[in-house]
Amino acid sequence: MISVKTAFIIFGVLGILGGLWIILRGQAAMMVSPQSGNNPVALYVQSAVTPSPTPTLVLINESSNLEEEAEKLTPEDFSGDFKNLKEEILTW
Amino acid sequence: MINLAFHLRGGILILILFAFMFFSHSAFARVTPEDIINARQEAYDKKIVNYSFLNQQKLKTLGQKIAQINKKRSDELDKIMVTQAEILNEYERRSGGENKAGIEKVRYWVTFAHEAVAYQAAKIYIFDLSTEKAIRNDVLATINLFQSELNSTRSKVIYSQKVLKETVK
Repeated sequence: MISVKTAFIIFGVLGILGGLWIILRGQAAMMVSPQSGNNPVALYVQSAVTPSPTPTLVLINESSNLEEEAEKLTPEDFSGDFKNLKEEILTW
Repeated sequence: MINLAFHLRGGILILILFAFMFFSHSAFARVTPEDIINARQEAYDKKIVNYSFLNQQKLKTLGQKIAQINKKRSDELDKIMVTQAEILNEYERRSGGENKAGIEKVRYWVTFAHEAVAYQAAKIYIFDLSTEKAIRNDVLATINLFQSELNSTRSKVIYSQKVLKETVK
């Protein structure tokens, strides 16, 4: 017959393992991303992300000037997009 | 006899606690992002049904425009990130095993920015409606949020470009 103390230890350990198992199962099902935030409106849907081959802007090869090519990659200014959206609301 | 009953009760209690922890995973069913979106969409659909037809159409049109802008700009940023990665790969090939630390640092930031772009591309913006009278404010709040998030993603791409330029010069 095992003592209460031994029973506590055995079932305590099993309980901790069970808890870890539940957490790990949940983590596997969960989307993990360093970008994750607590955003009530904008939401992230994994099913909407479908990887597809994206055409490159330019062909990078052994004769490319890497510094020049990197310089060309500055993204456009997006402020015009939002200005248009907000101006549209003003007409409502 | 008393000791036996005490031990038995203690053991049964621990057994029940263990069984609860092990088998109750369904009680802690995780809420997925899809669940949240569906809930938000449902709340939005319930609210909008009481709005005028004109406002419903305005919200629908604006929602589509937001989705189009997000897709267009995310696609542009994605192309930039693919090219950044190719530049880094070419640099690594040319370096012949040198400057490994520098290359790994750039690779981290390129990957980080690329992931941010993918994350932004998948976002769905659902208006958080309060009342029909406050429709402009409600919509403006969503636009501001979209602007903030897209610009944040753009900033990450620009930072990744900066780190890349410093390494390949």
